[in-house]
Amino acid sequence: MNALMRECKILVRSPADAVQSLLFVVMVVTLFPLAISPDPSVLAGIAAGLIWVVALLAALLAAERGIQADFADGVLEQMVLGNTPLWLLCLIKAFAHWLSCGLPLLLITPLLGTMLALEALEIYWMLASLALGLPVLSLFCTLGAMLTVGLDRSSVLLPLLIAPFLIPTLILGTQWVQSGGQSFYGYMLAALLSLSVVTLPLATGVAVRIAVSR
Amino acid sequence: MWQWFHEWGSPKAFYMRSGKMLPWLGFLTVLLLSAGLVWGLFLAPSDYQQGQSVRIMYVHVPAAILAQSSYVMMAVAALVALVWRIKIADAAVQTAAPIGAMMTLLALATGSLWGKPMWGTFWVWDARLTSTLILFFLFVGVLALRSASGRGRNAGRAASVLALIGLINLPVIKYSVDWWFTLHQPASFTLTERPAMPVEMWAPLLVMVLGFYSWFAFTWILRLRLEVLQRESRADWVQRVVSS
Repeated sequence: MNALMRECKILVRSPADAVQSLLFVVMVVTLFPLAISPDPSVLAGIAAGLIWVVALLAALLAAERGIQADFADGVLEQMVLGNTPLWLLCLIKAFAHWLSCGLPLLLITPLLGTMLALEALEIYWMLASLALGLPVLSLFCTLGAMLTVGLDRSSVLLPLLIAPFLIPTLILGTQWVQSGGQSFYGYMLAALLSLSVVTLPLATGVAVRIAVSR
Repeated sequence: MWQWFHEWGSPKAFYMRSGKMLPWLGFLTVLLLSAGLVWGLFLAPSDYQQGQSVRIMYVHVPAAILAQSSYVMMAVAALVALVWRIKIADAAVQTAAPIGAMMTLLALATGSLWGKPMWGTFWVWDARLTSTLILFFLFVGVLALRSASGRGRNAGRAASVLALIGLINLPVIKYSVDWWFTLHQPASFTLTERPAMPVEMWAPLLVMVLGFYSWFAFTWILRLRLEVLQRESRADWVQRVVSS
């Protein structure tokens, strides 16, 4: 509980992190109509994939945030040494990533969808797919950050390692929107989320132990 | 069985024993690969539809099979390294990754060379092609993480974790790519061969597959031996081996 409070406090006291993620997303989305075409029919066709790719990039970009500092000032070591189960602490870390990167993105999605000429119903599916998919991204990004923390060039390394693992989420999320909410994709995305929530914190815990022994 | 495990797990015993096996394995590799190449590239009949291009298959299919199974072998080595902390298993992960990445690249390259005359294009976003490309990325990830981890005692463990998670994720990736493809583009190419392949064609293919596996084992052991020598360079027995 203390760990959760700590993450929340960090977020509240330095809101710049969350704002930066948000600005990054809005900025990149703005580039696409400029580069490809301002035609609403073209934009509506690529909007779902576009928002998902940008969400993925934003998640990767935010992955290392805080964890590098935690490694440097010994918080990770305290995590390993303390009484609280390590997987729970890792889950909280992933939650913090979602809170600072996923949640703002979710909130801005209706605006992005409107900018990219999506219909109201499509925005609804977009929100649903992001709501289920973004936590998976956060879990994987936390794992990646723990695997690479303390290494040279870790900020380049991390996307390289983790991006392939995010592909299933990306596919299921975009297909769900593009198929107009076919329930199959929704179920699969939910299955992926539950599988990730159960297994990834454990793997992240192993990664934290390795990082600390480095 | 544990006895056997421990004996092979010690770097010195591995080095000595594999040294005896190596010539035989090398001989087998040369035999199988040369027989398979001559048989497949010259003697086997050309296909009535694909013509001579079908011969690319004799390199492509073994490479693709080996690419996938070398990932599995690498991940099994990673599990052994993580659970039992056997030094040689950690070295095995590190040395299998580049070979696997090379095989995946070879499978992709030969596949696109075959695709140009057959499909009229070097690359299509077919489910199998895409998942092979992702497999290549997974190999690259393990390689990059391993090379960034340095040479410490626990350096290989992060890469081992990554390799294992990759193994668990491979089916997820494979199925999601399949759904993406099958529901995205209704009709396109399928890579599946015609079911009735005559024996003159699959026999050389089988020889080639066995040859590739044998080559993989040969190269893997060679790389492992070098790695063992480097890691144990301070040990007495290595000094003796190198100086003699």
